[in-house]
Formats: sequence, C-alpha cells, structure tokens
Amino acid sequence: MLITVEQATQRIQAGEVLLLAGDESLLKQLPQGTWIGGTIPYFMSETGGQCNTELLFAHTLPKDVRVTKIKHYTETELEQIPDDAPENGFSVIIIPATSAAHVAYAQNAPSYPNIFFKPIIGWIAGTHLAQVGAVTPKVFNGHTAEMSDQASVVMHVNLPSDQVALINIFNLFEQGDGDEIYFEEEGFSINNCVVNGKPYNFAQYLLEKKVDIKYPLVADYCGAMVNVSFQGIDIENRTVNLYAPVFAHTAYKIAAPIEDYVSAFQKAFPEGVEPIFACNCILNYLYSELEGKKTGAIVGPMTFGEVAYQLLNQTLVYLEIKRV
Amino acid sequence: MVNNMLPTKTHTIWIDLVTGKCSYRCQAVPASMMLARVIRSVQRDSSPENVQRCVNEIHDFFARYERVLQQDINAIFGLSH
Repeated sequence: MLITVEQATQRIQAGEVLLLAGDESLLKQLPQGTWIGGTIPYFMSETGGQCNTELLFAHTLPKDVRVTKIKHYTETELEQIPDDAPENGFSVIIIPATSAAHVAYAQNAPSYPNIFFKPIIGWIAGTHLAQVGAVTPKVFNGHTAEMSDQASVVMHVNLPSDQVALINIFNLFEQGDGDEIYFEEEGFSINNCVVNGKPYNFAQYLLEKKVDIKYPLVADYCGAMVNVSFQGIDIENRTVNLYAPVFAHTAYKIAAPIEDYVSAFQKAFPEGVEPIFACNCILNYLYSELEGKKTGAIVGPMTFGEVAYQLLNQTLVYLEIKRV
Repeated sequence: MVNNMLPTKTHTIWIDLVTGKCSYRCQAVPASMMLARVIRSVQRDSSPENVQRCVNEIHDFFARYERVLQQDINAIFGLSH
C-alpha cells in the first residue's frame, strides 16, 4: 500500500519487515531497520495506477518470517546469492537500472549455481521517465542505511518449515506464429540474428517486416513464456537495443498480436491470488494505459525490469506463501 | 490426483528430458526455468559427463521441491510409461 514517510518510519520502528519503493528523497529520510528499498515513482496501488513522488509503496512481510540477512551484492558477488539464501524461504533482490549489477545479473543469472533451487524475486529500480539518463536509480539497505547506484540489495527471508515460497509470473504474451529467430551473440545490443536458418541484420529484419516493437520477443522456457522487450532500433548503427539480453540456443518469436492491449491485460489479470509481494513492468503500465485503473489484489511498484529467478520484461511477477 | 514417487536418477525419462527428446511444458515457473537451463546446457555440451551432470541437477531440483511440484512430477512420470 502507499504510505507516507512518517507511516513508514513508524512501521520500521515498530519492527515490521518492509519492502519499499519510492522517490529517492523519501527513502533517504527513513531510519535504519529491517527493510530494503529501491527508487521508482510508478505504482499499481489499491486505488489504481499512478505516478507519485510523495508517497512510498510498502509491502509488509508476514510476522512469522525471519530475515536472515540484508546485503549489497556487487556484480562479482551476485552468484553468491543462492549460497546466502536460507534452506527454506526466499530472497528479494532490487537492482539499479543500467548498473553493473543489472547487466551482470541479466546476462549471467540463468547460469549461477543453484539459482533455481531457492526462490528469488525482485525488480529493477528506475526513475521518473523524464529523468532517465539524468538521475541514477538507487537501492537502499535499511539495516545499514547504505545506498547504491551500482550494487544490488538483497533481503534473505527464512520461512517456517510448514510454509513454502512460490514465485509466479503473469505474462500477457504468447509466441506468435511468425519466424523463429535465433541469436549467436548474447546481450542487450544485437546486430545479427538467424531467421529460419538464414543470417540477417536484426534491425533490418525488424524494419523490413514492419514489426511493432511494442510487442516483445518471446521465448518458450519449457512452459514459461519469457519476454525480451525492445528499447529501440538504432538505424544508423544497424543495432537493436533490448531491455534484457537474448541468449544463444534459444528460439525467439515476436509476440502474437493483441487487438486491445488494455482490455486484454485487464481480462487476463490473475484473480484469487494473495501475493505478499508483486511488481509489474513499466511498459505494461504505459502500453496498457494502467494509470488510474485498478488491478485487484496485485499491487506494487511498476518497474524497469522484473526478476523471477532471472531478469524478465513486460511481465508481472508475484510471490505467494503456501502451507505444505 | 495420484501422487507418484519421483523416478530414480537412472530412469531414462531424465535423459529424455535434458536432451529435449521428451518435450515437456511445466506448470510451475521454477521447474520451467530449471528444465530450460539444463536443456540449453546439453545443447552447448552434449558430452555424457555433462548430460549426467544435468540429470543429477534436474533430479535434485525435483526431489527438493517434490511436495510442491506434484502436478509436474505426475505428468513427467506419466510420460515415462
């Protein structure tokens, strides 16, 4: 829920465990305690989607969880995250957009040892869209009151033995029935691709096919649809810039078109779930015109990227606690 | 739903899974991503040593989360008959 700095301060001082999102100037005012935070002014709140620089978004974790560690991880330390995570629980990561940690996690997380053995969820911190490039996104470690625009921050949380953390994703997009696209180079900026076995310049391919880059590339990860969103086409350099890296040995297709993006998103929104944490992509906020619209029980920051084990784009991710 | 026991590591279904011979789309997000990871690994290195390493990894993953992955485990085990 959206709360004031004063309310957040009271909750921190009362010992609550908080996951916070908001403007840098607000997060800087908070006292030390059991919380982590990241910068972003866009939210899906109980009263609808909004851009707000005067309030913080807070997810309060259940009382029976136990935080085992809060720590900054630099780009070279990220692969230690599963080792530091408790045997039964989950970890929440926030990474500043465009930081060294962002690039390293995006490119390497799927191959970190044991990354899929312990649930990790989170988001990429950002800025107001008018400030992109002028202000760096930040993350905060509430335990130490440290702030970073280069390292990630992670909260490791232990659960009682009769509970288990389950990460889910909600993705509006499916693979379209068009060409199968492979990449031999991995990364955020791509020159070449292989389409149906033939080499192409990827920028030229997209332009010739008149692809609407509002729709992401979609890979089918054995049932989980993983999006890679387009940042833009650099015609001069014949390069395509992406919001997440593409990987070799992975078949991508342009997403199937959706006639009415806004109503499709709202109709397909999951119901009956009770997440303790959720975040959604800023591109869904923009393209689905979610400002002022309610999205049920799933509320949280609108982010520059989502983490469900690995970096995702244009996807809503949420965490539920189940009794077993 | 009938709960099946997890097949042992020596069951051929695991090799079929990691080599992509048996195409299976998981219901649970971590299972999907884990399976995709080992399939990509085998595509990069199909040596018997790497295939066995991937079998061990995917088996250990399903063993760890057996309680919450019953739907996927039942489906995979059903495929092996």
